[in-house]
Amino acid sequence: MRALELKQMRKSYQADIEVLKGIDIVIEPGEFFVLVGPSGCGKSTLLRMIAGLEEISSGELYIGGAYANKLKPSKRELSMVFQNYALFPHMTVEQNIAFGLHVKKLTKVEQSQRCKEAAEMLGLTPYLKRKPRELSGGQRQRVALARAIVTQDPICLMDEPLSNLDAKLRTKMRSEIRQLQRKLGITMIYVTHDQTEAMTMADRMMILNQGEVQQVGKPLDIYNHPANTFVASFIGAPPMNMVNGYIQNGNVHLPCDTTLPQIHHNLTGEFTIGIRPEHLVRATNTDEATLQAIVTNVEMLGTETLINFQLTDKLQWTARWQGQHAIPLGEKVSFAIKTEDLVFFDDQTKQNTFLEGVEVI
Amino acid sequence: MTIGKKILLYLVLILSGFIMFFPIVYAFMISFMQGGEVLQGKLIPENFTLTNYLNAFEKVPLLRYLINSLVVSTVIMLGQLLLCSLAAFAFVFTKFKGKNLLFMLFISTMMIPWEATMVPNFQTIQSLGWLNSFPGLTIPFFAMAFGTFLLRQQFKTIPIELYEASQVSGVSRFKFFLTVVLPISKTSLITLGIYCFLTAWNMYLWPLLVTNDEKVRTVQIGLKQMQTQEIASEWGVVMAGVMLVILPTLLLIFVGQKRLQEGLTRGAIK
Repeated sequence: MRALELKQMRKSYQADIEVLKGIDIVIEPGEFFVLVGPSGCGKSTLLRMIAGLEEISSGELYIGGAYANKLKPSKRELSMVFQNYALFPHMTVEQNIAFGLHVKKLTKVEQSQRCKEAAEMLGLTPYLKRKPRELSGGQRQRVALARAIVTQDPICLMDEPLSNLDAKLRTKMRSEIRQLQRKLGITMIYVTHDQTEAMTMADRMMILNQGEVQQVGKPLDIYNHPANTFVASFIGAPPMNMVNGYIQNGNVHLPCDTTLPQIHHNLTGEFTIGIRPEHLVRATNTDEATLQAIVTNVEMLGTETLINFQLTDKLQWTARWQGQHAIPLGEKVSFAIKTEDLVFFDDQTKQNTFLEGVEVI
Repeated sequence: MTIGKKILLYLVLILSGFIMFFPIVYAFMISFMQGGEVLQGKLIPENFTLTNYLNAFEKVPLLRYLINSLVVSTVIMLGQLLLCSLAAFAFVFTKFKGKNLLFMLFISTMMIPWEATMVPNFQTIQSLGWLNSFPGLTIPFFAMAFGTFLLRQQFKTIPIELYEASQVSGVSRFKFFLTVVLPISKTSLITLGIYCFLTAWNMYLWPLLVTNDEKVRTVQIGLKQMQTQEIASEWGVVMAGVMLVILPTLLLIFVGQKRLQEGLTRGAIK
């Protein structure tokens, strides 16, 4: 277990183009920390800077309290799992796992002992003599994991390790990695573009966009209180519904002729107003505020149904209802909205008004 | 394809094969002919005897030349493989300023014909006192732009993550080269090795320039010697020598054929 601290980490490849614009974060020992963001947001670059594979343009990196900017990758006592696994095709599984152990000054017996342990832990024992090409995708992934844990380094970095697996296997490996991390107590930094992975695995996560930190926090805190419209639309599938509206005389006006009473806020003016799909429930007669719209598409997933509807001429929203609802396309449906479910983002800064003034950890 | 078409196709193939192979077959036949048989325009010798082969060994120190050629070709091959693979590794896996420019410069030397550099090379070898020696015969051929280019292309297909993974686990650059890059590129190395060996084996002009002592002369010069020794060449003996000289080449091709094909088509399949 070892802590990591990043102070104003910046990266630029050319003089005036910054890929990372000052990242500050403290990662606690034994934490499962997820870096998430769309492609090109700089998350992999940040990971590679921590690993020492990319130079740090400016800022400071501390590993276990020690200044680590100039340390070679091998001196940082960390292991790394790559997206394409980076297995050596000409070596057997056993050789792959043990690769790099010889620099750890271990005896041959210790090396093979550790190798066996790691293989055991990941269920690779029957495959030790095989070459990587004779393994399935999931097994290759496990070999890469075994190679990372066999070194017993206190920090493990993972760069989109599951993106080459099919959906079912991904779900399985997700929980396996999480359990492995808990069992070994390593500090994990995990990069992904998949918000589901981030939500399900992270102790804490950091959302990056265009080299800037959007929000850092526990997955549910982020889901419930997204810091800005980017986080709101990035986290959650389907994403949060948003529309421009305004508050006047204590009433919230949506552009679809729906008006709700304002309750716990004391706001006025123009806002980007958001609501999660699961909060757009089917209206009953007793509901005060409703929204009526034409259904354009229905996706029935068994346990839940996703309903797309036309909010305004140009804007579609999605509602998520529990259960199976066969709604004919083109039908007008009423959705109930509660004011407390609405999220108000400043029209200019796109920041969540609820969090303004509240410190974002 | 109908049977008729197939027969036609194979006939054409056999005919072209025969035309291609005729000079070698003819040389093979001549190597058994006695005295005037060649001049009579015969295609098949009267009787097959090994006299010419024995003569070939007696007239010139053919065995000595064969051994010299073997040594020179092997040393050139190993030297080229070593230097080309190291240079290619540097061009792929290390970062330095002007890397691409340097590589372009390196590759552009392929456009300079070997004959143009022959005189300066000769002067260098002469001033080093390497005339009539194995270093003089081999060292000028160690650096080869083509080999570096070929291996660079092969090394580029190795995912950079393998290199990064080794860096993270603390494996040194040279160890990575030895234990990962070379084994993965086995096919390309063998292809290049065969190519180098054959090129070196068939070298004529350079050995002629830098040697005049039969202790270090190579086999191609030996053949020429055989031809010009007497006013009326004994073609039977010369061709027997030729047969002996192309033997290693053929052997190498047969052994390495599969590898050679793999190496040449590799990029195409992937």
